[in-house]
Amino acid sequence: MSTQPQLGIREKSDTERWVAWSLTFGSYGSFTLLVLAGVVGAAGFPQWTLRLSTYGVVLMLATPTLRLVATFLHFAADKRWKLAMVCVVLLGIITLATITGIHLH
Amino acid sequence: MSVAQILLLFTVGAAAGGLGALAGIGGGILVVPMLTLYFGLPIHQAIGISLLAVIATSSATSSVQVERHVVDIRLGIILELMTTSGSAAAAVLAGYLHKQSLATMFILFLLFSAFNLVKRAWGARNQALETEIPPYTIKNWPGGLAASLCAGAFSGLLGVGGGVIKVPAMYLIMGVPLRVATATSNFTIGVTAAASAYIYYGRGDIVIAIAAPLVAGVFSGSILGAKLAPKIRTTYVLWLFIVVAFWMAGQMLYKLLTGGLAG
Repeated sequence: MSTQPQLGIREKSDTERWVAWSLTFGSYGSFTLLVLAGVVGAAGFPQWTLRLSTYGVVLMLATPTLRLVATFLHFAADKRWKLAMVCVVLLGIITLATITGIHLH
Repeated sequence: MSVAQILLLFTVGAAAGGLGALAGIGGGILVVPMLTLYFGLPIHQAIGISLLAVIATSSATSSVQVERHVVDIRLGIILELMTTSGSAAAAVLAGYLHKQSLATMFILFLLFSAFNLVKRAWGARNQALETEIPPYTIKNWPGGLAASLCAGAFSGLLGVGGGVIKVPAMYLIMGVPLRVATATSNFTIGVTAAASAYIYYGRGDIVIAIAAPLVAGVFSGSILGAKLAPKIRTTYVLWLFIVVAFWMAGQMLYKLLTGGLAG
């Protein structure tokens, strides 16, 4: 296990585009919702502020998961099963963490 | 919450995010002391919100770095197996730790990070910028995976990204070029932080009213910092970051000893 030449080669394929898109969509979407929450709050609609803020925070929280799903879909479409499996295990850990969080509530 | 408080949180977030992006270590490490010292938040809540800030910084900067081909995605997702496991387990553990224990660990981690930055800033005085990425072969996987588990645990426990452990591990132990190591670390901290942030959120430690303006600020600061970073000499920013980190560690230590940290 001293050298893994294949794993040292950086991705230069569609994977980068998929990953970048999912991160951009999630983070900018969340930022837009958070800014909107501030604007709506300043306009005097506090109930909408809390709702939009919650959506924004949850979308930011979900952005890395969205990136994992996008990466999994791309690896699966490319039939790179080992890397797709790594993504599935990671999604499993995240799901377990979410369930733990719900139980701790 | 008043408009002035919202704007203050946004500004504090933008400063932490901007400074973190310019210094290349993420702003999460400044968010916890800022929230506990100046906003009187209990440390568990400050850590939960800081994890969201880490996700914002990672998402904002990684989307750009991925398109610049500096992130080793395959290496990143394999290391994430360890970082997320460590992070989720540590987040559960954090719920059972007393605020004093967490604050003490945070102060030690902050000091460790600041000393590391001193070494980096001193070493980078006359160093030329790495413009091309040399070909590399990853070595010592067990060492790298063990360090990633550690970094993940620190992230879940203290609300930091853990880059201060991951970058040297990838660079020195695994033989990854520094620029790739930094970008890949930044890429992995989002998923790592998410694993523990779900637990903090479920536990009710993420207060939406405070998190929303702060995260929006961190996000915009990170974007601005990442755009400015190639244009300005970051050594000065590193020194500023070091001074702020030492100042906050001192303040936290003082409040801890005098019983002034919020419960």
